[in-house]
Amino acid sequence: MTTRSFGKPVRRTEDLRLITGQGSFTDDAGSDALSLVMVRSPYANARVVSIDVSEAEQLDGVTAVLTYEDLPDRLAEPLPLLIPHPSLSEPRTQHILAKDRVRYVGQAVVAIFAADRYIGEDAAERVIIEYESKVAVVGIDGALGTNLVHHDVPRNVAADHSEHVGDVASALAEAPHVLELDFEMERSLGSALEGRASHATWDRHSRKLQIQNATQTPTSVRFAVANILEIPDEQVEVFAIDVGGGFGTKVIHPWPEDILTAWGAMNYDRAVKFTEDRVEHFISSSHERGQRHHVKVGFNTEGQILGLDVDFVHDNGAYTPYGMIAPLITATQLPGPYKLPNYRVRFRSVYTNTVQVTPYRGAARPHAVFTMERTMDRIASFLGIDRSEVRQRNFIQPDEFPYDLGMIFQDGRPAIYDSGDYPEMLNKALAMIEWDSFAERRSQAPPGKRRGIGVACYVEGTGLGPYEGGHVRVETGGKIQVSTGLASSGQGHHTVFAQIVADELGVPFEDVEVVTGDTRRFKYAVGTFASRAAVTSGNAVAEAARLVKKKAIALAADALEANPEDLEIVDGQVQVKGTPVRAIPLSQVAVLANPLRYSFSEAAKAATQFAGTTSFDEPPIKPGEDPGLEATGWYSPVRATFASGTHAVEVEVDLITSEVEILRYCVVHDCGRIINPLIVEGQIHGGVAQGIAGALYEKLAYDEDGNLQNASFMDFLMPYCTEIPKIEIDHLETPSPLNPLGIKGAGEAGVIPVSAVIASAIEDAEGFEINQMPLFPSELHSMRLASGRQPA
Amino acid sequence: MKPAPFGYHRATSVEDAANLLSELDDAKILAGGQSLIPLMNFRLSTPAHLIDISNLPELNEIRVDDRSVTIGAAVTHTTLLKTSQVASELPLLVDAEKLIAHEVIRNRGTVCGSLAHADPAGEMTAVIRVLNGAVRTSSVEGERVIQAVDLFEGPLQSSLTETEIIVEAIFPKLGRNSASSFREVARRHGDYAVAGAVSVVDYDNARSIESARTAFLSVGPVPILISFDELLVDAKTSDLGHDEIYEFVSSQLNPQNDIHASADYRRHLAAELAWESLKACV
Repeated sequence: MTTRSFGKPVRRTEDLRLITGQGSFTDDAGSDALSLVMVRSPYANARVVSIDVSEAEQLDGVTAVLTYEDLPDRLAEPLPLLIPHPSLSEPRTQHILAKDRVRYVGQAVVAIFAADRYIGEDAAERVIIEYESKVAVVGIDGALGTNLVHHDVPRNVAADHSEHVGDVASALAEAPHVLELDFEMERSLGSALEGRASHATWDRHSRKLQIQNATQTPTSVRFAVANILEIPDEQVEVFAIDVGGGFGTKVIHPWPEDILTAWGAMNYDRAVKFTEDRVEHFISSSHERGQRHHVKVGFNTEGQILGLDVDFVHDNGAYTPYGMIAPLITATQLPGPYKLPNYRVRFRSVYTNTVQVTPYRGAARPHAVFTMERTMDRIASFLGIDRSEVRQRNFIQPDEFPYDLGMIFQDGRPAIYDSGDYPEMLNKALAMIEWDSFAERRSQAPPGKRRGIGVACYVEGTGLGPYEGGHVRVETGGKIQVSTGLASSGQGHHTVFAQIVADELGVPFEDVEVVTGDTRRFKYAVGTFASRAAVTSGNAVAEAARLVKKKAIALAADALEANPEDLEIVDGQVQVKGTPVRAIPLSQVAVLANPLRYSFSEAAKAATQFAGTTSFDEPPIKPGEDPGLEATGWYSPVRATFASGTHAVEVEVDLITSEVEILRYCVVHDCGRIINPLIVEGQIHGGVAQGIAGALYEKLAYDEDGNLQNASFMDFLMPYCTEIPKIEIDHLETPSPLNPLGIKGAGEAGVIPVSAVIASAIEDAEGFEINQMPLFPSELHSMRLASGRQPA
Repeated sequence: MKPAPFGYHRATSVEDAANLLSELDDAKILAGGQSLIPLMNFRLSTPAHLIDISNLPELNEIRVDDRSVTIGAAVTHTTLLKTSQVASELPLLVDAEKLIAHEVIRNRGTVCGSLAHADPAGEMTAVIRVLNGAVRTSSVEGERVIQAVDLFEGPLQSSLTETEIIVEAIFPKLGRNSASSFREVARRHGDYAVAGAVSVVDYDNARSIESARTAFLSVGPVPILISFDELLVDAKTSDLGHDEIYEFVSSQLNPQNDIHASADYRRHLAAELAWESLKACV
C-alpha cells in the first residue's frame, strides 16, 4: 500500500519557496507597468464641488488623470451588490470614482495613471478638489442620530432583519430569572501582509486581458471584470499566484482599482498595476467587528436558558457590497453549542461615514460568541454556579445530531449542525487548563498581580457551497497535476490537496503538483472564504482523483489483460492485487490514454498507431471515453458542516499598570477528520493571534469627524510575536457525515472565541463586569477606578 | 506612501555637511533615517535635500573619559549596545537602549538622531535630560554646546538652528555613589512608551540621599525633569514613601489624552514608574 499522507503532519510544500523569496505576489509583476494611484477623500461626508486636474495632467510621466465624469459606459455605474438579501432594503455600493459625494475618508475620487507610484503621488498632490464638508455620521450612536449618510436612506438603516424559533415572549415571561445585558465590540481589520493588488496586461493580438490579482476569488473577479468592461469572459483570465493573506478583505471584488487597472491596460495598451499601500489598506479596503448587542435572557434555577432575545446593531460603514452576510452570521451563529428552544434575534444594519464593513476572518462570529458566552457567564454568576457547569447544562448532546437550529444560514440553507461532541470538548479544555485546581493558582499570584481564568465555546458553520471543482491529470512523465479554481492566500492548499490526491490515487505525495486560483487552468469556482476550501475543493479533488483512478484501472486492465476488479494502484503503479510483478506505471497508462499519431518521446511511441492495439474492431478511443488520463470532479455540499471548539485561558492582571498577561492559552478544536495536523495547528495559532490582537491590542480609532486616527502600524497596534503566548492545542475529531472525507473547515476557528474567553478571565480576575472588547490597559485602569477598586 | 522628490548628498566631512546645510535650501540631515524617512514617506516632511552623515568615520566614534561617554552622530543604537565599555562605564545607556524599538531599527537608528528628532517619547531624550548631558553642534558659524535642558523645546522641536548639526552627544558618567534606573510601560515590546521614568539618585558617603531626580518620557511636550531634592535631602533611603512620591509626581505632570491612553492613566503610570525607578536606585 502507498503510505497514506492524510492525517499526517506533512510539511508544507509552499514554505521553502515562500521563505526563500521565490513567491510570486502581484506586486512582483510588472516593474514597467503604469502605476494606478488614487486620490482619496480627506472628508468623511462631503459634496465634491469641483475637481481641477490640469496641473496633475501636465506633470512629466503622467499618462492620464480621471474623474467620475471620465468613466465610460458601465464603469460609471455603482459596483455590484455581491450578495443580495431580502432584508437589505436599502443596499448601496460605491462608484469606481466618487460621483459628486464622498461618504468616507479614503473613498477614491480621482484616478491617476503614471509611470510609477512616486510620480503618481506627486501628481495626486497637484489635483485640486473643492469639497463642501457635512457632519459626519460616526459610530453606532451617530448612525442612530439624525444625520444621514445617504440622503435617501431614512434613519441610516440598510437592513432590519428578524428571525425566531419558538416563542420567546412567553418563555421570557415565564422564566424564573431574566437578565438584560449589553455587549459591544469595536472595529478592527484583516491587515494582511500583502495589501490589495492587481496587475493587468492586454495583448491586442490574442485579445486577452491577463490579470494577476491578490484575490480570494479569481473566477468571480474574472466574471465581474468581463461584465463591467463588456467583453467576453473568454478574453479575461485572472490568476492569484501567491497572495499574502486574505482574511476576508480580498473576497470583496471588484475593487475600483481592479476595474481601473483592467480598463487602463486595454485603453492605454500598457500593463497597469495597482498596489495598495498600508494607509490605503486602513482607509479604503474593509473593516469588521463593530457591533452592539442588547440581550434579554430567561433561565431556570439550574441555569438552563428558556428564552433568549437578542437585538443588535451592526455598523456596516458607508456601503454594503457584501450584503448582510456579517450580521446574518452573528444572528445564526450566536446560539453556538447550546440548545435554545426559544430564540429571537433582530438586527439593524446601519450606515456610517466610515470604511465599509465586510467579513474579516471569523466573520461576525467573534461578536456572536462574545455575546453568548458573556451571557453564560452572567447566568453562572447570578446563580452562583461554576461557569463550566452552566455550559454543560445547556449543551446540545452528542446523540442529538443532526440538530436543526430552525434558522437560515449564510448560504441560504437551513442551519443544521451535522456532528459534534460539545460536552467532551469542554471537558478536554477544562482538563488541559486544570480548571478545577485554579483556586490554588489564584492564591499563588505574585504580589501586585491578580489571576483569573476563563472558558468559551463556539460552533462555526464551515465548508458551505455552492460548489468547488478539481481537476487531476496524470502526465506522461508521471507527475500528477492538480488544479482547483479557488485561490490560496497562505492556507496550505498546495500541501493538503496533494495529500488527498496522493491517497485517493495511490501515488507518492511528492509526485503531486497543485495549482490554485488560476482561471487559465480551472474556470469554475466560488472562492476561499468561510473556512470552506478543504471541505469543498478537498472533496472535489478527491472525486477527480477517484475518477482518474477508475480510468487508469480500466486502461491498465486492457494492457495487462486483467480484470479491473483485480487491479490496485500502489506507489504510482497499477498492479494486480498481491502480484506486483504484473504492473504498469501510471505514467505509461497516461501514454496509453492518449492514442497518438505523432510521437514526442521514447515513452510516447507506445501510443502511436503502429505500436499495436488490442482490437481492430474498436476505435482507439472507446465510445463514452475521453483522451488523456485526467478527470474533473465536483463537490457541491447540501449545506454547511459545523466545526466547533473550546478555548480556555488563564491571565494575570497587573494591579499597577493594568496590563493583562496571558499565562496559559488552551484550545480544543474539532474540525472533523484532520487532513494535516501541522496545518490545522498553524491555522489555530494564527487565528488565536488575531483574536488576541482584537481583544487586547487593535481597534480602529475614528474621531468625531470620521478621520481614522491610527491608519498606520505605528498607531494601530497589531501585536508582534512577542505579545503572543504559547498556544496549547488538543484535537477532537467528530467526522462530518456530509462529505466523503468527513472534514470540516478550520481556517477561521482560532480567532472566534478569543475576545469572549479573555473577557471572561479578566472579569474573573478583576471582579467587575467586562462588557466590551477590545480592552486596553488605560481603559481597564479607568474601569477599576469607576468600580471603586483602587489601584493597589 | 512615497516621498516627494528630494536631492541626496553624501557628506564627505562634518565641514562639508555644515557647508551643504548652509548652502542648500530646505535641507535636512540624514543619519539613521528611522524617524525622518517614515515622515517623508507619509509626506509629512518634504525636505528638498537630504545630507547623509551616516558614513562619516569621524562621527562613528564612542569616547569614554573620566567624566563622560561621548557618542558621535553616526553611532547607531546597536553599536552603542555592543560597546562593552559603555555597559561598565555608564550602564544606564544600555538599560535605555534595551527599551528602544527593535533590532532592525536599532541597527540603523542613531543616538544623536533621536536627540535631534526631539521626540518626548524617545528614551535617549529622557536619559540625556536626567544626566544633565549636552550635545555639541557644528555649523558654518562654528561649534557650540547645547545643554540638554535647553535642547528640547516641544514635541519634535529642538533648539538647533537650521544650519546646525549635532556632531556628538555627551552623557556625563555617574559617580560611585550614584545609582540609576529606567522603567517604562509600552503597549507592545519595543513600542514607544505609554509612560517612562528614568531616575538618578546620588548618595553621600553615609548612604544618605544627596539628590534624586527623575526624567519622564511620553508625559509632556519635552522630557520632563522632576527633582525630589526638597522631599529627600538628608532622608535615609528607607524613608522613601510611595504615596509621597506618587502625589509629588502626579501633581506636577499634565499629560494629554490620546488614542493609546488617557491623561489620567499616563499620569498614574508615570508616578508609579517614578516610584519604582527610585526604589530600584536604593
